[in-house]
Amino acid sequence: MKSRGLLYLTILLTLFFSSCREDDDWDNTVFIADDVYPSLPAYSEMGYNSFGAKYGNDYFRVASSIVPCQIASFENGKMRFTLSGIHGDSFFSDSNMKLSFFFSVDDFVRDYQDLALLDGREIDLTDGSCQVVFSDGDRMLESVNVEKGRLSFSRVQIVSIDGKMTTAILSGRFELKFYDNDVIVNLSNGRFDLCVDDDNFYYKK
Amino acid sequence: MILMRKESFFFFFFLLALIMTNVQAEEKIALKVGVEAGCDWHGGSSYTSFDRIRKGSSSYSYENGIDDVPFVYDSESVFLKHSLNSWYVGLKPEFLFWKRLGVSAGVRLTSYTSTFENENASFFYWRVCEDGVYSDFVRIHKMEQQSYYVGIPLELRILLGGTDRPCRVYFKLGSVLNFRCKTENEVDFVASPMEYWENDVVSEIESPSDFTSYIYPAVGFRIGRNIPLFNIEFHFPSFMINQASSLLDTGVGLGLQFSFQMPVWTSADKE
Repeated sequence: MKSRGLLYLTILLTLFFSSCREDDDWDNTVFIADDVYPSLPAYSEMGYNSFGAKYGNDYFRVASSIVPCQIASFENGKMRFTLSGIHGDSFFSDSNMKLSFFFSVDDFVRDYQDLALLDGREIDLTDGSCQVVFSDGDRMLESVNVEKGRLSFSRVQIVSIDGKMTTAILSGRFELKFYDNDVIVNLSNGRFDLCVDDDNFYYKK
Repeated sequence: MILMRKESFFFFFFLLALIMTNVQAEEKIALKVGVEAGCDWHGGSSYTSFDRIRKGSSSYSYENGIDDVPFVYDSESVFLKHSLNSWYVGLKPEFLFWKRLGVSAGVRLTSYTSTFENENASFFYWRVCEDGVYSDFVRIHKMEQQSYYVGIPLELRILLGGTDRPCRVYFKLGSVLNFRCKTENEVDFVASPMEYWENDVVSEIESPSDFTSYIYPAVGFRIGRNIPLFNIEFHFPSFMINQASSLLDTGVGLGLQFSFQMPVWTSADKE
């Protein structure tokens, strides 16, 4: 009799908790499909933690199980901006993919709030001071020979939520063309809308 | 279309003629004054997607091969829950012809309340301020809009069954013409110090239409033979013309109305 009561209580509690609404976590990825390329996220500036690009005839894009962005800032004024996601067009053939851009900012960026200096900045990836590191599945290219490429931070926002400084939103576009064993690799129509805070930003002395 | 209208007119007059034939023996006009109260509910969709709302993660989809990424199907969608509820009170004289056909008009005060909240979370984010590289967001539990309208209800009803029955079924076609008197907007913030931004948020909300109208077919029961007469009726579906809320686009509604009537005057029998 006692165990039956316990069973009813467990069922009731399960029902109650399963019906509770979860809070809308700012860090969640929200994928709003682009009108022209529905497999890519639409360009946005709301910090949807999303990115995507056409990768040949395929796509490189965000996956909620992977932290989409990491930024490392170095004492020598260099910065590493990494996009991590998946490459593939079907659920069963995805593989992890990572793209890192190294570039100079000519200033100290010690905190994610200092990322404001990237606002409106466009980086020419063919410049000698820039470097691109690319990995797709098990393959990794330490430094690719960039034929054409740009990384543009269209808008950077330092965000306060309920009066408390919480995160930085980096929104922009990118494109990249390089050779991999004489084969042209093309990433086009790239766009990102990412949140950076203490969890995915670090300063290296 | 014209043929349909002709058929409807013919059917209506046929029904009227039938009623008149059946009640020739008791032809008379009665005036009843009644008080009414009722409520309506209208479902709806987001009226506009406020640019300042950050869309929330809500549904999960593997469509397009996106691995476990919350996928917003429609870029206009904000996944917000919305409804429009109204209650009203009114004074409504009714002329009852031949104890079967009622025509009424009066005055009605209606309060419409619409709410706007996140369907999947207890709050949503609203961008209140952009200043250079700085953006301020606030978390909002819900937004509520309350509008008061003064209206003129116009109703036509046909009572069925014998006049001596204690409960008579009736069918009604009603409408109301509403004029807006006042609108109040309220924002429920997660953090109470953020009430500082309330006027800024409210200024983004447009006013609802100054004039609204809705039409409702109804079925109801008139209970009682003596003073007072009690009516209970169900409105379904009701259709709104113009929006009584600027937070949402209302669709089909349903409602419930109660009224009490007191006979005040009866014409002399013709027989």
